[in-house]
Amino acid sequence: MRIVAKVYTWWYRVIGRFRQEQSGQVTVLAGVMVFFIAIMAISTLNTSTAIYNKMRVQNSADAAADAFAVWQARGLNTAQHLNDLHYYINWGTYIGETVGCGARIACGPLTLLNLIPFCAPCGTTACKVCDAIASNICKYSDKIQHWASTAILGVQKFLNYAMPVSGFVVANKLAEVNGADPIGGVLGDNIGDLTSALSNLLGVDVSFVGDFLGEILGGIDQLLGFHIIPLTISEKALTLNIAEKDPKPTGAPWKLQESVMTSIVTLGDVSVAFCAGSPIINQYGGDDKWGWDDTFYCGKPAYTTWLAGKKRLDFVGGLRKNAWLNPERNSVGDAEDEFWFRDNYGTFHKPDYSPDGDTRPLNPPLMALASSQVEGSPLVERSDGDDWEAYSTPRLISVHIGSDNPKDLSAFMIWH
Amino acid sequence: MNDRGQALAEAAIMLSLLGFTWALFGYSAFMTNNGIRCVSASRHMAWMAGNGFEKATVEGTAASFYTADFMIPAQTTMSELSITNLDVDDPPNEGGSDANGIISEIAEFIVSIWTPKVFQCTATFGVADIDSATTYPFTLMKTRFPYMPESKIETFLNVDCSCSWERVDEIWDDPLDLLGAVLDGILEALL
Repeated sequence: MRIVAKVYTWWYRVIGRFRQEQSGQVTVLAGVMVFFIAIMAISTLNTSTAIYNKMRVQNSADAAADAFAVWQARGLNTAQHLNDLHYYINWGTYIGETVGCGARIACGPLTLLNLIPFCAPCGTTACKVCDAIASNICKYSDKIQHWASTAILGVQKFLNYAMPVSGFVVANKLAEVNGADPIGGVLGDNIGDLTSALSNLLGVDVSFVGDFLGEILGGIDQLLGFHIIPLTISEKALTLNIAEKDPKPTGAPWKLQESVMTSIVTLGDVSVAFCAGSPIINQYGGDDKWGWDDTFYCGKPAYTTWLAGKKRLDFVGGLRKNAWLNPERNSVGDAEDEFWFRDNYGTFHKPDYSPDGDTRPLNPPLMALASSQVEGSPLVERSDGDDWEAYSTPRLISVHIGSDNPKDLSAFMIWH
Repeated sequence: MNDRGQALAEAAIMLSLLGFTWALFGYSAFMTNNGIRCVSASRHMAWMAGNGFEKATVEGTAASFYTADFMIPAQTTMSELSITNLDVDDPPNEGGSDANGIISEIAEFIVSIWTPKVFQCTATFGVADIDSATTYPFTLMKTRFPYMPESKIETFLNVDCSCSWERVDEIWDDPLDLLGAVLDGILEALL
């Protein structure tokens, strides 16, 4: 009870003093407190915004890389299906060739039907009809094989370029809808950073180079509308990297040699010579390949790394323009001076060395990398093995940037 | 004229202001924190959708991205859209160009023939309106002080984020899938 009375007396004295007081110190103290709480709030919002955007940019890069990989995989699987189709057509036409050419051997003996009384032309006619049917089966089987092969290989050649283009367009759209800014502007901001750092190192202002390149990249943005770019510029990375090859060992289902087939055709020619048939081999001009010998599209694409980003953001609430926190700096040399905001937010915010002398900090441009790879056993030749059933599937690969120290060159390297 | 008690009056006003600023700071921090969680939730939803998970599983997974103590049932949506119908979630930043270049227009048209479908997933945290709010801290906004205006922050009641992902599970490993995609494209082009 005593303690309560003491506390009450103390509180009454404090309140009483406030009631007597006229100096207004509370206003100043509270005003300072409100100011700092407001600064804390804005800083928190600003940091959150930077993290939010950084995560979205990473989402953009990941979604883009995965989408590009899936179109590569679709292209490879389509090419594999076409290889299979090519195989089955070869298989069917090879049967046609063998049966047709082989049947011609039996056509010649049909002339023996001429020996039947009152049926002198029967044998010759039968031989000619037989030769016409068999030789056309033989001839057109080979032609169908040739036409199908040309068409399928042409489609595969087209897919080699078309599918990565489709993948790039989808990936670009995904990067855009997931929040990535046009990549030219992002790179322009980064080039500005690099040239400013170079200015700082050399003591000579070369930041105009960054501004100039930034303008050019911005113009490219307007023209092309790219929100991502591949970091690996090579045909291997931007195509399916498949090519027409002769994937030996392959062979006909019953492994007939070229010489055996040629012998069969020659025997057929000799056989039908009795009913004035014309030699088959000469009809092909002698340069056609009999049977199985053919090419397929094979290969496997390399991994591809994509870059997406977000341009510089001003601080939430225009905090960077607050002169109390960030005294004006008018030269590159002055930027070396320590000041409160940069030191306290160095992790997320870097100073902006713009040529107009505004060295107050901005949120940095944010960038994210993502790589993708197609896995599986794509585009093995259609053979008797089991490999052709292993399909291509896309996979995202983790990408790591090196040290956080900007003076460390390894910071610009990428590890997969 | 008696001006005694000035300090007490100032203290009352300033402590109120301090309290209000602190509450605003706390609420902003709470919402921005959950805004970041929305990014993570939407990304995982989109990835799952792209990898063939069921819609119920995809939409159900978002809740685990928010802290249990303050968890408000997050609203989630999963839509399968044509590549040309996707919503751009965020306009470019200040100084950025709204790039929609010639080549990307042409390329989008070419790709639309393939009719690729993309999943767009959105995670929303917060409430649509204060009247239906039953959870702290949103219920605080129902407080009405005498002679004071309403305490609602109408424009900051919820945070959300969308993420889009390609159908990465559809790799045309079956020739029928490929034929289906081609037929879809032809039909869509004709209709």
